[in-house]
Amino acid sequence: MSLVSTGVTGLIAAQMGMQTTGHNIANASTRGYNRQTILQTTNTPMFSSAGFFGQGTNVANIVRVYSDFQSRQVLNSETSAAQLNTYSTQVAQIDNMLADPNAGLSPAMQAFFNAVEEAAANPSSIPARQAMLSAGQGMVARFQSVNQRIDDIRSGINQQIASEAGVINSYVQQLDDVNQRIINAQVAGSALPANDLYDQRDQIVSDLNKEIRINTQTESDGTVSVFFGSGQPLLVGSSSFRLHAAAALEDLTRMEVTLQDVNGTFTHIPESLVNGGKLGGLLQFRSETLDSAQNGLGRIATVFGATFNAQHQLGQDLTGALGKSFFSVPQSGQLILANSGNSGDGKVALSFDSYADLTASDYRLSLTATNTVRLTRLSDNVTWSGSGNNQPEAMASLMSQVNADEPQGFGLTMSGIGSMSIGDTFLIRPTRYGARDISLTVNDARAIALAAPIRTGATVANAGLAQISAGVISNTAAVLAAPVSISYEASSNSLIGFPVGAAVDVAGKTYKIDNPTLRIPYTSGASISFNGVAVSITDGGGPPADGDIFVIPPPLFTPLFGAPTAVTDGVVGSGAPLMPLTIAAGINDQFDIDVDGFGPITVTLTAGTYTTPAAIVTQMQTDINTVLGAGVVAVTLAQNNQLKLTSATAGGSIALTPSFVQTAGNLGGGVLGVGILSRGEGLPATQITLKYLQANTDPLTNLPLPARLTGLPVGSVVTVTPNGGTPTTYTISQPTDYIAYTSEASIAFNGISFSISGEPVNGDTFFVGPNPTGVSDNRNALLLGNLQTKNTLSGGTATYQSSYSQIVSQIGNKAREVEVASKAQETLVKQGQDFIQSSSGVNLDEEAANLIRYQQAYQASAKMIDVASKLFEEVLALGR
Amino acid sequence: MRISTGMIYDSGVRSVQNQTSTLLHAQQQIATGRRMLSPSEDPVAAARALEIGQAKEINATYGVTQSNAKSTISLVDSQLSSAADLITRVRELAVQAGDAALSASDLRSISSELRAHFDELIGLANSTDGTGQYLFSGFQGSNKPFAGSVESGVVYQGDDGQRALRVSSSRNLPVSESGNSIFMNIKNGNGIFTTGAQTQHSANANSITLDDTTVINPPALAGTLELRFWVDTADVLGGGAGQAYYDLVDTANGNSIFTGATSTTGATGSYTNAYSSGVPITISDGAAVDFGVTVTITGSAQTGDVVSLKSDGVAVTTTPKTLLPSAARATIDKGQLDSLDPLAVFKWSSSANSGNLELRFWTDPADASIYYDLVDGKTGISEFTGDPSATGAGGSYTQPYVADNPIALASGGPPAFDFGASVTVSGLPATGDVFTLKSSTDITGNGYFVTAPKLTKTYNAGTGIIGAGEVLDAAKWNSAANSGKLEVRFWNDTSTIPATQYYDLVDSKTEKSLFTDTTSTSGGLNNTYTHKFISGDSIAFAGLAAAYGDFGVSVTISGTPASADVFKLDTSSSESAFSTIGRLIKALEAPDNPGSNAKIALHNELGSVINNLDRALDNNLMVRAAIGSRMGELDALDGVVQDVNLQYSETLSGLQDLDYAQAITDLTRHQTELEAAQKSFVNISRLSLFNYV
Repeated sequence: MSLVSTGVTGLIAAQMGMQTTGHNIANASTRGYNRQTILQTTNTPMFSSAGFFGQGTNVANIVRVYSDFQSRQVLNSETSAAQLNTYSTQVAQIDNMLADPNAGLSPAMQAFFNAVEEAAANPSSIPARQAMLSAGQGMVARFQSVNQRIDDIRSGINQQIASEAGVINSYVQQLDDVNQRIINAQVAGSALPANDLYDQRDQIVSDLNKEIRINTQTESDGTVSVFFGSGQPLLVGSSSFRLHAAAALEDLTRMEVTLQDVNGTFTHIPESLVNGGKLGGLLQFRSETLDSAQNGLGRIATVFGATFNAQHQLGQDLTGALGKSFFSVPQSGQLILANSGNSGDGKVALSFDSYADLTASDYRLSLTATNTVRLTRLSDNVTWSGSGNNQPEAMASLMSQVNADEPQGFGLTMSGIGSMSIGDTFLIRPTRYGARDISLTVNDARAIALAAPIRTGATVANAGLAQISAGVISNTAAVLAAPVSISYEASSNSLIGFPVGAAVDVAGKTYKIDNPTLRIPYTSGASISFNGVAVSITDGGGPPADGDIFVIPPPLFTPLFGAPTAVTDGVVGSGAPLMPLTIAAGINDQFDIDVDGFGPITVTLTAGTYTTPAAIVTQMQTDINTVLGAGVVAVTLAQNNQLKLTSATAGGSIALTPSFVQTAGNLGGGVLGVGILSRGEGLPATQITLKYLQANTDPLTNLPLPARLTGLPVGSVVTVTPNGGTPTTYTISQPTDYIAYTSEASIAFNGISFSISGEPVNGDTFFVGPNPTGVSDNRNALLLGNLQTKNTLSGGTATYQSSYSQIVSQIGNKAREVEVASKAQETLVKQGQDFIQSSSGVNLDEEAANLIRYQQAYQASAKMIDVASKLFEEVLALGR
Repeated sequence: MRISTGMIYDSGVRSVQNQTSTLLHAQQQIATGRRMLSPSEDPVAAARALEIGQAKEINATYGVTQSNAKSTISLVDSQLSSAADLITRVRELAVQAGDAALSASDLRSISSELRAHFDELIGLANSTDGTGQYLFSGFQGSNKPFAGSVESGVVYQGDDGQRALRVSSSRNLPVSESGNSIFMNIKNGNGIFTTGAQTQHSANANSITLDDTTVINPPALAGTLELRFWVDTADVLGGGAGQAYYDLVDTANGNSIFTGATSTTGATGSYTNAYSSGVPITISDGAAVDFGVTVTITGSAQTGDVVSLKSDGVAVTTTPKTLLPSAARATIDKGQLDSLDPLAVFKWSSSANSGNLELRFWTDPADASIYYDLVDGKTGISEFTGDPSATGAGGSYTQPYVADNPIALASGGPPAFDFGASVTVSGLPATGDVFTLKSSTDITGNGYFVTAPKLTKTYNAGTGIIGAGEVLDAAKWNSAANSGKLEVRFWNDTSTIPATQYYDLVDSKTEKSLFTDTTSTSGGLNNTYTHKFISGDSIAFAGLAAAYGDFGVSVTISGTPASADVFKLDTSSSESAFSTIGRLIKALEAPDNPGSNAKIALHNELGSVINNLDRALDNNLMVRAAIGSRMGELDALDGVVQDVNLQYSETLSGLQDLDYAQAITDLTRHQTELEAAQKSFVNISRLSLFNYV
């Protein structure tokens, strides 16, 4: 009997063995399947006097060949591999584009400069100029198309983030299902595991892990909980959380990951917490490579446009007009994004101070405490902070800190209107939109400024051999630098005393002042503008009396070069004061300041000579405070020693005009008002003739006079710098004032500089004047061409091309780094998988052998029953 | 190690895929010829290739610019060489014209050839480059640079701009020369000074200057005296027409010190003391009044000149009240069109304006008021009256003159005319002073007309011919003491037989003899014509009065100068080649001048012209030498461009290009490897125990 039952146990065990082997064979290709084996043990033996009789066998358990430790290692490798692989795929897109000989920026930039050189060779040729325009358009289009490609990749990433979130949510849902089924299946307890469900679950975990790096926690009931980042839950017990793609608060065009908890509340997940897997790869690529590539490109476009414009605006076009902007570059308004979660209503304005110092980074500005602002450079998280009595002051203090520490090329100012709340942030992207927004503003080939707006020459009749150099223009902005006295002549009802060389505009008519006695008709209240100042003389208590003198002071502030004075948001853009600056009582010591639009208040500066910009800032702040009270207007020093005035008054903006002065003792009632003009007003409108006079003795004073030049415009400050010597400054206040003559010395005034070299003879004259019909002049074109090899970026260390090469190299290196890392990671994954496969994988040969083994065991057990049966029959036969 | 069946398949597929991808990469390298298919394969090389690519392109641009520069420079050079040939021919003709045997008609035929050459030279100077831009107009390539004729003179309408091309990174090579530097700005004479006989001078009266005041004894009384001058134009006193006289007037009562009565001019007036330039005047009536003061005045005094002597009881201050510091009595500015009048340009260029106006002055002897007339210089018709210009009552000098007030070139009433312009005259013009206002587009004028004192012709009567002069020490010539306006003046002492010729060296600005530093006067007392003249001997401007020292030059005059003959030495200025040829033509075509020795005048002029032609040739050669050196520079740079290009190409090729031998070997190897992987995989996968079950 026992033999039969023993045989039956063997039969059943062999059957189960074959069942398991068959299951293995059937699932040889199933993903995530771990081979199973039966755990066969002997039955409890029966005791007899002879000892223990074996009672056959049974299958105690069906075991999954599985190593938890190995699996976790592979999971780790896989999530990194997926991240690197995604990164690598993404970066390859821009890697190929940037250095492509056809699609990259380099050939377009080169073609543009070739066209500039061609135009320089034929400045009067319309076809050559048109070619320059076309090449410019081509280059702008290339900037835009490369940028568009980056934008396309960016929006692709936005979509992928959304679909990744969907995929992850679906996996989490599946895991939840499998968890439930495991609980149901394992009613008998976890001692008898639901192997195939475990395999399914592990496979889902593995798949999910390739999308985002997760941590799993196996619970006592056999289910797993899933977390990501620093412990953010995706699945805990039976509660599952959902990931969503949502617009970032700082930038509504940028998708980021949010987590919806079981209550339906959304939480923004910082990018740093999402790592590993495809999602991690996408986010890392975007923040690490895509942003910097686009900013880098934008920086080149911005600096290119701005520097080219600056030079172009110093030139003169084919029609004789001063050059305008050649490119249009991004305006400040769109470069600052207020966080949509901000609770304050403060507004921040950006202005470009120095293009060379611009970096390719984004910045974040935040109010960290009452009246304390912090600026963070996002590329390396360097921070600066500033504080003051109010937010505009804090901002001014912040920018002083930045400029003293490491200028970033831009300035931030805060409007007096509105204020920030603590925790409010602004995302500042000085360069992001450069490549998108650059465009050509010149459409007419004639409007390209290839010539210089002035020319110089020596009078043919000169007896000496001295030569005057071609002039160089450094500035066309307003330039009146010393006081000019205008007197009223009653007999002719006219004004006299305007500087020679100026063009005086009165009520739409232009008078070119070519001699000091030229008179301008007097009309009460008419605007009279020349050399960067606009004045008006108005009948006050009556008309001026004969011989009344009006002194027009040089403006304390000159407008920012190339741009109109920006008064929005309470900021007065202003130029650098000439140093040393002499403030003379009754001459130039007053200015009117309108803080809130309710009318000007006159501020008087303390007279004296200020040798440093800082000194004038301190004094001006003191003097303003005396009149307006502290904290109303902040005076700060921006880059390049520019003065900046910021209003702290709510609803206020600053309008600032130099106040008038007039010589005491005027008999008439004329009142003088002064304003400031901008660009183009400083160049001579008519020929200025410089006369050389040899050294002699002044017949009136008997004092020796040096060899000198006379004829410089009244009101100008002339800086004479001998070759390798120290500069001397002369203020020309009347037509007979002179500068000492030194051969080869650079003579600079009104934004023009030139030199006269050689030995002039007494009475020789030289002239500097406008350059009408200078159609063959290519001086500005050569200077424009120079920009190609000029170090204009990265603090004056890189050309446009080398800056672009830097981007290419940076992206290329990153692509290579990621590719190599990705390959290494793949190898790790393969090794791990091989290791697992070597223990858990199905080997069909092995299974074939097992099949034969269990078959034979089955046959043997059957034979055993057969034998037992035969034995029984033998016994029965005995009884027959 | 245990192997699962899956591993066999996985690794088989993986290795085949790896091999295929390597093979494809090699194939793409070969197909494109590029070593790097994307920058990530060699980021450093990729970035470097971009930069070197730019450098190579820039270098290629320099190559193109250099050939542009070369062609422009060659064009300039060939035009200049033609100009040099032309000037050489003109010089030959000038030498030929010096032949004393030539008749007036011979000279005429030479001059007609010269006129052709003149036009030819203007044509050369106005030549254009291939694109229609004028070669010699500076920056104003579309403006014809030279315009004019022998008669009106040639003006340059370009500027001093020198066009440049960037031919290398650090070199902007000038490719053009301005017309000024080639044709206009040519030093005349011997480069330091010019010599010549007198030909013309301004008719406008000279001013007087107050030289010094000597106070011998302190004045007794406080008060102001005035030394007043009057010119006896009608010779009522018999001292000769134009002789100046002075009166000494007490300003307190207006009485003459000499007569005690009211100061008056005229035959019976109190202006009785004849004025002589440079002769000290003692301020005394000879009897009652003696200020103990002596003043010295030089120059020609005019009616209305006043020197004020003010005494405060201790000292005397002298002030020239109406005296002007310049050599000319009255000066004129360059004038301007009415900037308020939009039609001014049309008015100036209207047909009513002959473009040859004269502003003439007249002092009414009755009240010493100054009047002016605007006269058409061609017809002599006054614009104000429409009749021939005439002084005196009922004449056309109707407009009162106010110094420094702009004189509008327009009439208030009929006959109406308005030329839309004004000029300003300063100082005190004398009767007979004339300023010319000639239409011109000269940039040194106001762009519409040129103002100048009217010049009249005078010629030497003798046969003296002056040489080019010698410069012994240029620095001395440029000393501050030298006004640069010197004259050699002659006077014949006819008291000896034969007459003895003396000369004086005079600074024509101050009218002082350089030997004595006093006013140059011939004969009689204070005679400064003290040096005896010997034909052909060099006259050195050395051993002068202490105030002048040594001017470091000498000239040679040969022949027999007549009394009052003047030879001039002026500091060299610039004279255009056109003006030199124009002078030559005018000299050859000039009719014989009455009272002058025409041949001698021609000789003196020819000498000066030949001198100037030599300067023009020198200047031409100098410019061409500069151009030649630029050509040399271009040749050198061309070599550099080629070398650099080769170097960049090599570097670039090393960075970017594929080594085909290597690549094809690699391709074959990868192919073999792929085949091996495929074959081995098939073999392994075929093995299975089930085959035997």
